[in-house]
Amino acid sequence: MAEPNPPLFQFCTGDQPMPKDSEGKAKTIRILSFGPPYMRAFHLNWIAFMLTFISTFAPAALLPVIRDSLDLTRVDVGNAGIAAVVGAVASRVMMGNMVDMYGPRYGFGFLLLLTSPAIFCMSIVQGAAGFIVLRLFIGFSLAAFVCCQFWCTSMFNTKIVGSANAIAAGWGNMGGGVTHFLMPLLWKGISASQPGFIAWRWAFFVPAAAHIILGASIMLFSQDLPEGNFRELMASKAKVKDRSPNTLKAALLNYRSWIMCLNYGYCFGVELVVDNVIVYYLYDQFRLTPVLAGALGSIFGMMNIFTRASGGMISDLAARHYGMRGRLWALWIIQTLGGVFCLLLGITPVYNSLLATMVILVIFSVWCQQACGLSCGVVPFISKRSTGLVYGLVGAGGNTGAAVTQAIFFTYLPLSPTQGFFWLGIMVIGMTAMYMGVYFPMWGGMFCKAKPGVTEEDYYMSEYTAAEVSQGLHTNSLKFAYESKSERGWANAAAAKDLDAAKAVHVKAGTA
Amino acid sequence: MARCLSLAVALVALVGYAAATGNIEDQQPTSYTQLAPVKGQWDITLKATKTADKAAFEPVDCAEPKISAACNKPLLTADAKDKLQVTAALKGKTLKTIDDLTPKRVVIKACYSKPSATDRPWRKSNDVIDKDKSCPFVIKSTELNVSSTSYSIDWPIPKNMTKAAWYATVLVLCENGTLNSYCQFDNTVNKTYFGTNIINSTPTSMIIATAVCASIGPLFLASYFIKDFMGRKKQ
Repeated sequence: MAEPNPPLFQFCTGDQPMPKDSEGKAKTIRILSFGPPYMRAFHLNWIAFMLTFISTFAPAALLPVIRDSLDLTRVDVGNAGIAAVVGAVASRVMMGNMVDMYGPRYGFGFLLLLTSPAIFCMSIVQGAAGFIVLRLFIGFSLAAFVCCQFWCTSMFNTKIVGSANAIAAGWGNMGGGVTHFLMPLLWKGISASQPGFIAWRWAFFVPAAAHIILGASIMLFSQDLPEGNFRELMASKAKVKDRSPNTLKAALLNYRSWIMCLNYGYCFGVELVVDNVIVYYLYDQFRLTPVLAGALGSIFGMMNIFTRASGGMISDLAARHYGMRGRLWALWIIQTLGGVFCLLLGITPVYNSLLATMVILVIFSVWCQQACGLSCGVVPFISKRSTGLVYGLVGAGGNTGAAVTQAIFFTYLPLSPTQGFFWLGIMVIGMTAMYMGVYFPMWGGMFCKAKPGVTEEDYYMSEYTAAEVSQGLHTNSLKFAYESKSERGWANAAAAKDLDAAKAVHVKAGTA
Repeated sequence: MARCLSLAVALVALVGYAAATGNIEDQQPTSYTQLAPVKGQWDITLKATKTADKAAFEPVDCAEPKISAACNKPLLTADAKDKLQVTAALKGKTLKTIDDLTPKRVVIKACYSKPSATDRPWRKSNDVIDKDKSCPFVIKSTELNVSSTSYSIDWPIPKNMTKAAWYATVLVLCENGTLNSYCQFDNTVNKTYFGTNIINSTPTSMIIATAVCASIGPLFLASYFIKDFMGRKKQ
């Protein structure tokens, strides 16, 4: 008789052994525990990711002071905002490859420790050029998203991976809201003994020091996988180094990666754009004080405390009944609703009223951030061999979308911010329709059922050549394939009982 | 559920507070255009301490609004040591106001020159005086004395003053029923500008601290991998 599944959350401190699956991954989230390896990884994960958001958007939070201190123009401010998100595009793709080969611990360590000098140097920047370059370098740290998602996927079972990914990423994204009230508070405190134009510079020492502390902690006190660290496992041959170019192909030639990449730009990318512009929008549109505009604007980012996690839970709940098809439908509906509410920010009855704007903004934040959580419920299943690289691509898509939409709708086109929100909403609705094209042969798509006779093993083994299988590179994917049968949902699960394993159909992971 | 409800109530309260306080005006809105008929009653002169010992005031004689103009040099430093002396003297014996309102208060402000506000919407001027963002610094605000026709102040350049070229504006507030409103103004646009530079905001201690702290992260990584490599070599 199969063991009953533990609940999604357990509120014990972790004295009892963690329930694990056949891959050694945790089957529950013990939110109050900091025990190794699962929950220590989980908590270091989201805290480190939150810190990268705090650092990346810290200059935006102090911009009313910095723009006068450095004599910036509107274009300088816009370019710096774009640089902050563009930096992460390439770094997320590179980080995807890095975590696949060296593990998330080294990924986080490198990111946090090597971007800390850029944050310290923000203290001594003298002009617009230096400001833009430093925001670009600090923005590299947003590649922590890839480490975050990869680490959660490595530590938690497929049935709860959507929720775990969404909670970690959501609490991490909350840094975009935290920074809008934390940095001004730091500045105000330091201003008690220093002129304001010096105080903002000292304030950057705080997130920079936190980068060093957290980077060192991750390197010294955590591990990559439930069974150990990448390096030791490869040395003992328990984990086989997979440096074949086929790892890249598995991600790049899978069209699902690109659909998710593009659409992540219209949920997470939109979230980044709103993080960049909302305080200015409220300040200019409703003539609020900077502190009040910052407090109200931070609500958008702070909603991540539960919205992204709830998106992951909705994804897992939909999958429990309807499998991957349920995940895709939930994702399409919620991201489309996000587009609708973004559009509503740009219509007359709303933008003339602060109350209406805040109500629509809060609801918009819910849909937008839930869509991010739902996206991360689908991404782990696109490729097992190249999980990190797929996360890197999708993450890069988010930042690319942010850079493109910020440039189009809020910097270079002669649109007012309200018009920018309106047309951005239209674009989100249009792009989201691409989810209709995502199809997994063993599970189906939004409008198509699963192909008869195709199994999870067929899909995930198709990422390996026969030679690679003989080297044993495929073993982890085989285990993952077994665990991912839960994505069939109850309807497909019933049909799969009659499947004849001897007649398994070989399908390419990149094709329908 | 209770936590979600209390969070929602807090959000609504914050928004309601913002909506209530964001738009209240304790003055009737007046525009510079409305006050144009009563402009030109003040003689505004500017002097600044431009010598090394900051002792003597010299007349500011610069009608060029760009900060790069030669006549704007040397720039006054925002260190609360350099000073600007502003004197606003009525040309006539009495002050004529719009709608013959009773003047109560004189406010002298420093305003960004047009080139210093270009491409910076946060310094944008507006014809409606209360919505004008181009005059962020109040040099002097004093009750209007009917026996006095001249107001002067030695104003230390404050430490939060930005690098820009400025002109001075005199605004007169009057009683208007139960509210106050602006009823007269004058400025030194196209007549006299002064230039300021921000304080030195990167002291030597900050530069040293930055250099030391910025090296900690890369050094930790380097030592971690060297130690790891040495450990593997021994094995």
